[in-house]
Amino acid sequence: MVLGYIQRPMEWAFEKAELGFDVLFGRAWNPLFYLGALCYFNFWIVAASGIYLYIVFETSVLGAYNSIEAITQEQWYFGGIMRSLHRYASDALLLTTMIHLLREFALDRYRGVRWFSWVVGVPMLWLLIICGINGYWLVWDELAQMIAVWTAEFLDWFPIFGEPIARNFLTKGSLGDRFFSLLIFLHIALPLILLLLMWIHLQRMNRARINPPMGLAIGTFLMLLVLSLIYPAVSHPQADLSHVPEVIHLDWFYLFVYPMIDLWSAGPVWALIYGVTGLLIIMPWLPREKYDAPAVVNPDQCNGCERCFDDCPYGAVIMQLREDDSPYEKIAVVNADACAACGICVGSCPTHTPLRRGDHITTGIDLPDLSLHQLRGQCVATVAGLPDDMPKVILFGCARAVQVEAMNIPGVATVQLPCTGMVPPSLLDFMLRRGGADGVFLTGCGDGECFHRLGGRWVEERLDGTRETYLRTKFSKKRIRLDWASSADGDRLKEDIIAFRDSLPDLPDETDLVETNGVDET
Amino acid sequence: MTYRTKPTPHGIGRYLGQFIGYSIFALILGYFSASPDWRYFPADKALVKLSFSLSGERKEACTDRTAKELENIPNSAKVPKSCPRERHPVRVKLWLNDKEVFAGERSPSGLSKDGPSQFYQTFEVPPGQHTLKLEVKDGGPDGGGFEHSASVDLRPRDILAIDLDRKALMLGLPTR
Repeated sequence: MVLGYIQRPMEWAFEKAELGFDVLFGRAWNPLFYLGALCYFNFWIVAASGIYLYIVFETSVLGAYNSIEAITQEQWYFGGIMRSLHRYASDALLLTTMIHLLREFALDRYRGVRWFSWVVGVPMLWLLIICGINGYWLVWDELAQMIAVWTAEFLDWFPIFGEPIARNFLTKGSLGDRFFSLLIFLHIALPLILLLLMWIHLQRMNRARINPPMGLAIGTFLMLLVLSLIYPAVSHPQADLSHVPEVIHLDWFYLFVYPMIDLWSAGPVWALIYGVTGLLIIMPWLPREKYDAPAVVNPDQCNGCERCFDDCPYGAVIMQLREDDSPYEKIAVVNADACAACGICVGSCPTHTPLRRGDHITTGIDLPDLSLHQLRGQCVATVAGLPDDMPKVILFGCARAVQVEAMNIPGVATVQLPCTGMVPPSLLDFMLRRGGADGVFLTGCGDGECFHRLGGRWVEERLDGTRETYLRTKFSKKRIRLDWASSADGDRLKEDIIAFRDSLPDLPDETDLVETNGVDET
Repeated sequence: MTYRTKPTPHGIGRYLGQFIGYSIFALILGYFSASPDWRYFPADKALVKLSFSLSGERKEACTDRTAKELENIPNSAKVPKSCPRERHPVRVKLWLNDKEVFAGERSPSGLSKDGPSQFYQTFEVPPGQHTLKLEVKDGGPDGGGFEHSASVDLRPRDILAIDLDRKALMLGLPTR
């Protein structure tokens, strides 16, 4: 598939960039993991600064330019900064949005259950650009004049308007004050519609992050503030419909389409806009990878605890009142259309805790293509196949990060999962006590860059004991290691796994715990 | 407790790293928010805009309705004349200094072709003294029309707007 040839180098580039940002910002504040949240943050800065600008803005042909000039020149210490913040936060919003879009494409996060967010994002992108263009009109300087005339001529390419819109900008007298009332109305209404779409965009995402970490938010705001002080936004000379502007200082983030119109004329640019929009909208349905069968609930085992409902990243699990004779009030129900078969719900289900060796495991919620019973069997079999002359490690990895099955490290048995979040802590427990493993190593795309959004976070919290289901092992926690690694991080990960395996013989002998902890028998 | 081996910068290194990251982002924002410049219009040219909205003559003349025809018409629409709606297209020619710079025809607007014909055309011209002549044919191939002539002095980057108020010439020029 052609898209795959574009995706792979982009994915590689993003993974390298993530490693770079890890070094610069640290993992917790890596901006590439908070692109959506940074879009929201920039939107709020634009909204707050815009409210102030609206208060001082005069909606008339002469007043529009003069009121903006007044705050830029005479009130530079506040009004001027607000204006600059409004511009730079808008630019940052569009730039962040574009990086967000490219990253989701590169990491293949736009198909399947994610089609909804992707498709809603397409009109959001155009609406954002229209909001920006609309904002530049309000200043009514030479840039605004150019945009006004160019936009009118661009729209007139479709002969659907009774009279050419461009005739409204023919002479000085063509334009009335009410035109600016219309512009300011649009500049308030369109961002509100954008905000509504931003809300709809997240409707199929549980626990979407709409706020960046405090440190990243402060850093972003300070960056915009310093930029506003060093390089404040200024106007061109006032618009004059009897003279043509010669040179324009273009905002290339929002106004990139105008030079294209100038070079290619309106027709090809309209074709390009429709082509790009159409392609973006149909992309989620282009030939795609096969998704596994959605999770299924076992009514006999489900006790209605709501943990799978709480942990599902896609809102695919809903809770319903039971109508059978069960003593439990509720039962989990899977919306198959929204389920990505990530298995995170299996990792959250407490009904199989603790795992026993011989029983057939029937858990409250399971994946038909890789049931917990099959997974336990696979773990035991692969560890049993390891040589006895070195420590035995079982390595759990996710299908979206380093391909652990291809690592081939002596003494290390590998199990690749749809998401590392599928591993229930009870399975780790079991592998150390009964499964023959001396150590457990977990890796995957992890928090922030987790393909299934929340898998990495839930794994960390479950192992840290801050989220059910808890890790209950009495073994030294040094026998369990968690190490997130993207595909670009394979060499480092391999070194870490070998070092972990080699560290195991130095740990105290804990075999007696197998007999005494009692967890297995309770 | 879990063990993660991702490198996390500490102390001054962390803030230095962020400073570098934010600076790069700010440079991109600051530069592309107003650069590079775009040359919108040549400094040594003036712009002529030919734009007007004019209805062509009716294709068929109005006729008087007979008394019998009027009887069959509701009171609210009872007018003595019957006027077929369709109009002729409007043909325009523009000469600057005796050189033809535009010749075009526009159909009447509207589904019934009864609306005005719309013109909007721009031309770059050298600055200086120009004599312009506008010829408008609004009565079909064999029908009538009208002409206008004017003399204008254009400076670099001036915009001359040529408009019609009904059939009278309207010139929009910069005030000196």
